[in-house]
Amino acid sequence: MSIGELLRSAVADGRLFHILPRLPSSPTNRLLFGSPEVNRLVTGPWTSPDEEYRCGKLWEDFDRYIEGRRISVALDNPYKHPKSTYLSRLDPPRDEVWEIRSRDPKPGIRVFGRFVDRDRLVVFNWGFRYCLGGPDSNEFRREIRKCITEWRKVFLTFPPHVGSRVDEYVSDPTLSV
Amino acid sequence: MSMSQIQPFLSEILNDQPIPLGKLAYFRERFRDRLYEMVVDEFLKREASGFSRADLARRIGKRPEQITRWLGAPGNWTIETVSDLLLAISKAEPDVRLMPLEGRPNRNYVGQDQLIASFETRFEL
Repeated sequence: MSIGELLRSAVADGRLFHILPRLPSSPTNRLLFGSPEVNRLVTGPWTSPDEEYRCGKLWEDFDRYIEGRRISVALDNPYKHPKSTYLSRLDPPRDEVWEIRSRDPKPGIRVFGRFVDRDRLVVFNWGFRYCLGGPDSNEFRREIRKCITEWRKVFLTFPPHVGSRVDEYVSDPTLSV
Repeated sequence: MSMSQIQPFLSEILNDQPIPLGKLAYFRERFRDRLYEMVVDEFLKREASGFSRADLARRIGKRPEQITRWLGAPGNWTIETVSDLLLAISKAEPDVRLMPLEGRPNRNYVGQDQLIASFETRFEL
């Protein structure tokens, strides 16, 4: 079975969701797939008005990627990229675990995933930034391990997409930082 | 296929009902991002002709690191930020117009399926 068939199978049986732009008229220029855990964030139900508000902002952050709008991407400097970076490859780069950084409003949210191919990102788990500590903390490493474990449940022994330039992961427009 | 699109997103907005918090949040962020795209596009155009982040910082009395943060994402932008940046980058002010949400065509689901299919085809070669 190919990795494409595994993805289709996971979407067909509800282990992954194809996350679409919130506005029915918006284009889909990059693909985003999310675990039920991540999908619940944007579709609800939410436990409080604060959570509903925060997750409304998160879905618009997802739409920036999905609709093909400009995003800032950090490939090589996991500890030094600007705080405002949208998409960042985490340390160690060989794990190919990425985070979508939804910073505003507080509490910030980090969503973890791996690329299946260029413009095809699968996100599995998430955490509030204040719970994660520094980028080399045990909590961060636990989320990275969880992301890899969840990947293997869906994609078995297939490795994630590997690239050496930003445009090998995400099509333009991007801002490399 | 499992898709995250749920009940009609625009129903309360188009039917003059109270707008849920999550939808207010979504459109606030979307508006902010539209402004961000406009400012960054303008900056990249000027950067191509030699205008730097340091030049921009100097023009509006900010540190270059602040400019780098602002150009990375619009998270903490205010209306004042947009005005300052556009004035310094483009020597211009924005012209805001309204785009009705009603009556827009829905996205092309066939095209979207083709996107996924093309991806699958690549891996099944």
